Amino acid sequence: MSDNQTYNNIYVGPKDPPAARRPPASEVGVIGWLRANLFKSLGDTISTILTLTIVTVFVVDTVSWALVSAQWEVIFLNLRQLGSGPEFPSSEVWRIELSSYIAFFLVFMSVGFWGRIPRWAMGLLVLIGVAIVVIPEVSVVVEEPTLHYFVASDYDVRQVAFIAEEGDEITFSFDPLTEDADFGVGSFAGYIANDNQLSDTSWDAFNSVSRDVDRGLLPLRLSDITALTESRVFALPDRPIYDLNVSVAIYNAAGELIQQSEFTNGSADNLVSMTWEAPEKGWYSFAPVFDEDNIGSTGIAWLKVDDLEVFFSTVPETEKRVEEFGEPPELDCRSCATSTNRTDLRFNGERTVPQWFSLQLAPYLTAISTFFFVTLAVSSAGYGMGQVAKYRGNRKWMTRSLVFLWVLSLPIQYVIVIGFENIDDLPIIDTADLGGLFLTIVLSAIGIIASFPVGIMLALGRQSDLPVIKFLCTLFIEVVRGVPLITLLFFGLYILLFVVDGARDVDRVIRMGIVLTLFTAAYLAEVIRGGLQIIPKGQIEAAKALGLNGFYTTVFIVLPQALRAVIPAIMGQFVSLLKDTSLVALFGVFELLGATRRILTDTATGYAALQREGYIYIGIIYFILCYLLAVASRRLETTGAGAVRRERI
Amino acid sequence: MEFVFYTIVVTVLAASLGGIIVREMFVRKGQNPDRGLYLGTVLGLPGILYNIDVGNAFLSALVDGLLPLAIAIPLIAVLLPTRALATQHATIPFYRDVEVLRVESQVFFAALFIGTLILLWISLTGNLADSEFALDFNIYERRFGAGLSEGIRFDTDWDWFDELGENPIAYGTWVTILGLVGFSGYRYFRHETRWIAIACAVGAAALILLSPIIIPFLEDTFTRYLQPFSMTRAIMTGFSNTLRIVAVSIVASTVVGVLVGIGLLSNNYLVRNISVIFTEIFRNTPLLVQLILIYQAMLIILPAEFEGAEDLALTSPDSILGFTLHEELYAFSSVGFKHVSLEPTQSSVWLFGSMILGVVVGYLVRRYRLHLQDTKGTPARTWRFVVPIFVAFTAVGWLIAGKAFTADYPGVERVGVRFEYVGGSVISLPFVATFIGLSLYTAAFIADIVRAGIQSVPTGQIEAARSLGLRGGQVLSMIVLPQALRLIIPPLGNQYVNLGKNSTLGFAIGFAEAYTAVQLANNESGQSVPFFVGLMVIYLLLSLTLSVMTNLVNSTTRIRAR
Repeated sequence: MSDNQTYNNIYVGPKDPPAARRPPASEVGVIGWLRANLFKSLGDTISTILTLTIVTVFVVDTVSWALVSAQWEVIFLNLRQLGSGPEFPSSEVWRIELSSYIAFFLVFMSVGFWGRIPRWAMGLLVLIGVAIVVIPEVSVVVEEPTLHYFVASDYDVRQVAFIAEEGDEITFSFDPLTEDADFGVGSFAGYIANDNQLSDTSWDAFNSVSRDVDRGLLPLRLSDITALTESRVFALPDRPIYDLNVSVAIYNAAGELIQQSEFTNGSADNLVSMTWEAPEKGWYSFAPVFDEDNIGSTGIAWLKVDDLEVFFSTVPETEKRVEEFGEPPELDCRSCATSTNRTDLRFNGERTVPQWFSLQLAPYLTAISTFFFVTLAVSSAGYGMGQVAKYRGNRKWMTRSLVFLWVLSLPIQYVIVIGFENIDDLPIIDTADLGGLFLTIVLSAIGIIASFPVGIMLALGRQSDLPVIKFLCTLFIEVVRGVPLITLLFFGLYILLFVVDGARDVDRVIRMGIVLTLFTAAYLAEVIRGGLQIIPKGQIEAAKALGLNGFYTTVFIVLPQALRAVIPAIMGQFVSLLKDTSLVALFGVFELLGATRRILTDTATGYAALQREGYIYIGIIYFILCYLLAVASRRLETTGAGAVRRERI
Repeated sequence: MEFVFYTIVVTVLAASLGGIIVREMFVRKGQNPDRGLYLGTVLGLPGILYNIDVGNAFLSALVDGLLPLAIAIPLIAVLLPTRALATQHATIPFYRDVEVLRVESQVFFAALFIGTLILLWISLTGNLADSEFALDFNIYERRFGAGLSEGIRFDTDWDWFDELGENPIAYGTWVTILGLVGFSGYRYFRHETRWIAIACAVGAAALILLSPIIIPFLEDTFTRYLQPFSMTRAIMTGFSNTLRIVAVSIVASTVVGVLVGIGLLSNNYLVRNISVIFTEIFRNTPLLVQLILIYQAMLIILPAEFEGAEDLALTSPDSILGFTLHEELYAFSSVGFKHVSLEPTQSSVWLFGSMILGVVVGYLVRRYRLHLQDTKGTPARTWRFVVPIFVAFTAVGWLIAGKAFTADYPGVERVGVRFEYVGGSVISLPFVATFIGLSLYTAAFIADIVRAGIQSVPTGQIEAARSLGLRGGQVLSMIVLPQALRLIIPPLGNQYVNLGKNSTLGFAIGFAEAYTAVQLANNESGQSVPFFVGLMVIYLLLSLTLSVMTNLVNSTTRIRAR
């Protein structure tokens, strides 16, 4: 009894066992956990080390790429297109935002009423909110990068417009590209021209280069060089002869020459540089000027410009400048930069992590902040009301009013997004203009709701005793399930408009929606059939014995039980539909994937080299949506209505 | 359009009415009344078809629909021998008789369905005729203008069947293969899977033995860029590419899926969680996004075709691409995966023959050892006998054959100012990207199926095996997997069918599979309807084949009822 105490005849183990009876140090604590979970046996150790090596290499590579050389501006500069599609009029985006606020409100009200949000999710949301506020505030100020302007004798002169405050000092200097080191990654990778097509590299580019080499025509054209930038280290077969005779000229907004530097006179050692002070606030432009007599001179050089304010040449960014500095000058040249375009100033793979925070993360967070906080407020209000209704209200009445709210919200949302004839503030919007994440969610939500009745009919038809009906339903289900979705979308795009008179006017977004609905209905029918099969025969016999006819038996006895049992499977179908909506991107619909493809292949913006950033971002969005649905489905499986009922059966 | 509608209405009414009248006749004669209803059904349908081409007025439809029925039904009904009815139940009025309603509703639905189809078809052909693309099923014979990036050529200048007919060995091969397929099919329907396995083994052996003849055929016909002669041949080429990608992806996804599935249940913390992350990521993102991302990332990351080509201009052509030519086995670039190709020579028949012999002898020895174990109790230790036997036979075959393969290494040659790849084989980048994407996506689903299958094996089985002294690997391979397979294989088959369907997404990254070929043909000709029919046939056949093959495997793992 010395070690053990007895309380009311209950045996309680020793509080502090003697050293001899304590487990060895290798079996408890961190070491014990490691031994038990990672290094249990030889095979275990080998697989741990193997997995760790692979994961480390992969994660280190990916993270360092994402934080150092990835250029995420393709995301935050195009959030509007990703959200509502490239065709959607930008002045009407508030309608989509309003519609999504309503949807968020109702979704979170339902979540609050029927379930609850886990603590960690709330914590995560708060954390994101704090990050949105804090990170843009504390991010380091990054100096404006040096603008590298490519000067070549046979390349069109581009006049570049820029803005300057009074007294700003801007330095221009020529750097001839004659040294070996100039041709490495470091020099070229900083510059990717607007017309760059990285995917179009190799054969043609190389052949044109090599042909020029053969004929002794130097230097390379800009497109040849930029096509081989970034990961493609390209050194010239021969050093170009440098006898450029060039100077830099600065013009004011009216196009008058203000100042011009001296000429380089064809000497690589003559490093001409000029510092210019802005006389007043306003728009200016600069361009290299070749000597008229020496137009045949060859050679390539960087014109480096320091201390110039650069900005993204998107519409809102430019408009902001126009408001402050007035109209930009008319540029008299064939291919001008209408503003100092930041896409010309890509980072060359050398970026520190603080710079990543201030240049990549902070602008993104600023861009989403308004939407995030309004959504957060609306969702919290909805969730709170749902919780109040759950614990205070009359449950039956509340359920009915919630369902009523959902039903009521659908026409309201339709009017908000599509518009109504007699409301001036809501002009009608063509369904073809819808796009982005909004269209993805709308397509999958409408698809799953509309396919539900069709799926139930098909499932009941397949279970029917009547051979003809059974045959027809089986035929439809099996044919649709037997062919790829892309084939059916092919039908929707090319054939459906001929099948029904007048379908030609129906927009392709709607046609794709119809195909997706029928496709989902066939799969849903199989899911529901699974539910119908688990209904015990006794249920139907009991219903018959009570005098219910076939219709009442199906509607009141069979279907409620069958559908409740397959709720998780229906959720799975929803996830699968959400993923499948991406296929309509192949048929010219700009939903999330289509919008991304459009942005990335648009030659005017020059994002062709940023494919990875774009697709990874939408991959993450799809993952979050599908994963949330999958988690919800799993919760329903274990704790939801389906699980409860299944126990009772 | 109106007359079709009238025709449908009239025929449905006529069929119903005729059926009811005849039924009443039978009932009064005390015979089985169902026969009349079925006759009404059967005769009602041709009635609809008969009416399509005739006039467009309500009256003609009425006459055409009603007359044949009115004449034919009573005639046939009376002429047919009938069985006397046991009970008399003529008192129920027909509109409340369940029997009548059942049949009539079916007639109604069938007529509605067929009528709708006819309606849509007429509308379709009419609209197409109004547009510039009148329906034309001869489009398949038309010339295919576009090119395909890779595939087997089915061209007139190299006709498979002509050449095979001239070559008695190859001809024999085809006859043998067809015979074996027929035999297997026959046995399949008789549920004798063992014979099918033997037939497959014989077929595989024949193929391997004849590979020195067959492989050069394939090598000749497989090209990087080709312009098929006609639409049909283009789609055949595309379909051959589909089959290639499906075959390799099925193997890869199964291997990865089973490994990850076992990893999901691993006791090792790291392995288990990595497996979970893998499955969640690949299951919860669209395959299309994965494919495009993989393809584009490879295009950007991988070195361009002629990286380091400056050496070419300055130094000897032996040191391009960072390796010495004619010794390198493979190279990865943005064009694809270049690798050495091994071409079997005529003498490789000896090597393959002795390898097959080694397998056969090994199998016999294994049987003998198992027999000894059963009768005398000596441990079988089969692998200790089988592996050395196989290795010995292979070595002997290798020695006899002498030079069994000729290796062809990849390299670059300069032709004037251009550079051309010579030697080796290339697996194109779209193929590689589609392969990786499809395999990993399907593997994630297979992993979950495997996990569920293994978890379904009762713990008692594993504990019993452990207590009998079996090791971890033995428990998995001898106790758990055989039992889990029964649950794993049916959903696995579904995944293979899905994989076959998902292979169409290679279209998005320019892989020349069947859908790509059809899309190109459609873009060229605008004949979407014939091509849509073709697509349906191709993919229904593919799905059917894959599910039949799964059923075949499934029938071998089923528990046999005693």
